[in-house]
Amino acid sequence: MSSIDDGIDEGLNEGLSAKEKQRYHRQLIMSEIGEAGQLMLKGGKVLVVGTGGLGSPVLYYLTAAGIGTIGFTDYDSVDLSNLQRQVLHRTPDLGKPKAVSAFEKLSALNPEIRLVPAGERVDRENAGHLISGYDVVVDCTDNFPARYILNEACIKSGKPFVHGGILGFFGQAMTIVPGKGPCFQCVFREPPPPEAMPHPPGVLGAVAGTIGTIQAAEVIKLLTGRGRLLTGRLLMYDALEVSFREVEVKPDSDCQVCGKN
Amino acid sequence: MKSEQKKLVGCAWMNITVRLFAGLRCENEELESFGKNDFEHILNQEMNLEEFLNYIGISIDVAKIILVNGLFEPLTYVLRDTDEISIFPPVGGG
Repeated sequence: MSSIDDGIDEGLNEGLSAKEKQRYHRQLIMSEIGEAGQLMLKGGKVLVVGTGGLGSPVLYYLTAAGIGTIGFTDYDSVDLSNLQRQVLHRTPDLGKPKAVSAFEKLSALNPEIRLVPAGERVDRENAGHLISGYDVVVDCTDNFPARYILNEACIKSGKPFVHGGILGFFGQAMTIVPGKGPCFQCVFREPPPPEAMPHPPGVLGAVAGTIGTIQAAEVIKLLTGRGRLLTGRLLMYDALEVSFREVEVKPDSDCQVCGKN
Repeated sequence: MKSEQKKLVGCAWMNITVRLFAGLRCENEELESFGKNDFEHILNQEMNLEEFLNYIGISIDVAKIILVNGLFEPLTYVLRDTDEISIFPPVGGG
């Protein structure tokens, strides 16, 4: 089992090199980020669970933005039916472990950061270890059970958890910050029965791109302390109508994961 | 809808806000809100969530996540004036 704690040095945090200043120039000139914000990104450690439809845009944008350490895990291999939406993977990658395929693309995009691939399926036994050492966990999974497990592990260890989900032309996103709003299970009290989920669900690749990009921006906001997070706000995207609507969601005192009762 | 509701007398009127997501819409052709995904509805009879879903023509097989005023409530929850109901199918892909 691998985690960020296994054999990784901590030598990336001194400052920005001339090459980094050039690479991140368009972020450095933003008043909301600047050099101080870029150093926060460089010092950030983010785990992305899943390298599929959501994981692809999340990983591309976090890698490009210069997050110092990015872990990602996926136990699956690249299949032809993935390529319509999972833009990290390409036709020559068919049959390759997704974690390997993702590592190849991301390391080519930005060799200045630390990438930590893992080929594990998240379960109750390994979740705590998997997320240890990371500052933020991003939900790019394709199933509800993994989301409940990750949510609970993040609440227990006080880590922000950036949720995303997609179905057809629709998507949703919410950022869970322990102690500062509802957790995933406050809102989605019980996992929907498996028969309630289409197998496999139809998904428009562009919707995965939209939601994944929102998740990536949430991570950058979390690491830099900028802006207003999607905490206590479930964002719903409808690509058919091109509408973004929000639902204010509240902490549930009876929640089995974070409730006070 | 209004004339239909005027027949319903004897109870206090309740103004309910309904927000439907991810392709869900009011499916009751007899309601003004038919086809809408964001609407207010006046009720003057007591209903729980399951009865209200049936009233607006949405199957509980599809409406798997229901929030009332931003909190999970069971299907037996009895609606109150000014309640905001948000209804979602499971958006679980990734």
